[in-house]
Amino acid sequence: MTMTQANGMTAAAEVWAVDADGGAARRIEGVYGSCEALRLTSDGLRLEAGQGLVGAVAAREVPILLDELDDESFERCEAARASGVDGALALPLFDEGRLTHVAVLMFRGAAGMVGAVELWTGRRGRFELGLAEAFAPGLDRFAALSQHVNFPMGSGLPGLVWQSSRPMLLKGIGTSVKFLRSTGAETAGLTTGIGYPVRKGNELQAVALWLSSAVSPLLKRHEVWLSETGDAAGLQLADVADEAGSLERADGLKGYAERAAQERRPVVFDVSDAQAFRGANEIVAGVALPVLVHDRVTAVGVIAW
Amino acid sequence: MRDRYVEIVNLVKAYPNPVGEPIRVVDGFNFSIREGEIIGVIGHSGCGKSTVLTMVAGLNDITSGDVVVDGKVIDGPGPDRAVVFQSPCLLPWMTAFGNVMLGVKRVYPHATRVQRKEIVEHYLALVGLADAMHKYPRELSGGMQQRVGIARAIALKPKVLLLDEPFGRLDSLTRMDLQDVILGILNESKITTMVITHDVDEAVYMSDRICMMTNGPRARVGQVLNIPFERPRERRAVLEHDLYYDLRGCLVDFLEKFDKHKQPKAQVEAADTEQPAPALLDADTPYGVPLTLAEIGA
Repeated sequence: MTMTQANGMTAAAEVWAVDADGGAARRIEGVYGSCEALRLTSDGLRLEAGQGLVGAVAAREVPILLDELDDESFERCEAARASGVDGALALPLFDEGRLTHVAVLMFRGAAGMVGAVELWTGRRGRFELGLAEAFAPGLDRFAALSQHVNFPMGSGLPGLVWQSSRPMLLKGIGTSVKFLRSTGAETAGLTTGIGYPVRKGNELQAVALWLSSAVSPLLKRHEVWLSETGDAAGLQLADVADEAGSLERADGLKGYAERAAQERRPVVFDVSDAQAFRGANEIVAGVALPVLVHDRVTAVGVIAW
Repeated sequence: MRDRYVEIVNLVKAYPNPVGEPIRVVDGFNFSIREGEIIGVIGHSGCGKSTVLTMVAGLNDITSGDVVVDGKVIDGPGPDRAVVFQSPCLLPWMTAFGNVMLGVKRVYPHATRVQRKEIVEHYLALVGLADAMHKYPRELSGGMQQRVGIARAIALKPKVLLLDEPFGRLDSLTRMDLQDVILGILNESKITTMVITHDVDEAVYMSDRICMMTNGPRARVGQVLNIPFERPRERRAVLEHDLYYDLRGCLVDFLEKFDKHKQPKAQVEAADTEQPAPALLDADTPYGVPLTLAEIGA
């Protein structure tokens, strides 16, 4: 029987709004679980362009993944360390080409944890995506090989997300024919893969991947919602993975997907007090990440832990 | 060293089909090669590896798409692209020297007779045939004949060297010997090279990057593996490298996934679906310069 760590790898999530002139960003909401030190230092926080993680995203308008935290790259480094946070992913959201919001996810990487968060991007003159950054505790061998693998459009999880331009979910990645690093995933105990496209208008900037294990899950539930009408009203559940088994309704997190689509921004949620989400492996929080293509919301990926 | 010295863009090879749509053997093959890079191409038998290579060589008509070498779209064969096939195809009535001289005369039309002789002798010596250059093919072993074929190709001073399973008919010791001969030449000459092989160890040992092809029909690039070993390479050091077996395993995994005999029905169906238009990444990684990735048709 696989022992699951009491705390999964995902520790906290935040949403930041970027000023219209792109000069600064302010934190508008966050869920911190047991990360009290982070909660206390984050309320009302505002960062100038270039300052800290979100400031760097605002200045460069690209996603950034930190596989270790220091005072320069992460403005609340001491509080993060006190909360057991070792890595962070910041995903920009562009609305009609303008950076409007940044979603930040923070991860634990304590001894014994196994999982990976990866950022796949392109190289000049190549037709493939390669691994730009990875936070991969407990996966030294898998991560070492991943640096040398490149995926063209339509191949592997990064290539499939690139091709479809929507969040994508692969279950059983240790045996999946679509997950081309399956042998390494199986050896490492990775079970579920999620890909999310980072788009700016009609272009793909990067593909963010979450590779989750049963030992220390990055997520317990993931939902992919697609909208043919380009708005919240048209959202339909396309795929779901529920490792928590705590939701009776298949559309349990639909409200958050709808809110993300309506407000055209990432939405974090805290369901630690909600009876509906209670179970042996209960969900406590999550984030809904919309995909905007020009003025349309084409999809929302909901990740809950 | 130019990043996009060879560019293969949306390459398609289709053959007429009397009972339906043309059969697209290769469909949407996209790849770029840096100047001086050695690219291994691996895939199952019949997947279209040699079709791609012969189209790059200009020996096989391209249905659609482009092959660009050093900024010029290719249009038929030329001395800028030399090919070595599995069988060296030497002219039996000529010595090794005479076989190599054939190409040298074409590429060095203004050289003197003495200069041409020196060039031929230089390249035959480079492949270890200094003492056998006046022998006829029937007097040479298979490995020695292939050395003549290699000398004949590199004596053309090509921009691109195309090797189509060049060691496929040789025993393993001769094969290893010739791998080192070619790598020794390429380390010096920095010729941009594409080598087709079925041998995963050969691919890892020889290549800077390995292009893994999906099964045909509609074959395309399925995955690309960077080989991080420095050049010049020493076989023992490569075999003992921490990553060697993981890289090798990555190739084997890919080939197993595309093994028709083991392939699940869903995978076969997925392979039969229409492939996307190519998307060339034409800017740097996001760290500093935003990545622009044109999604054609999006």
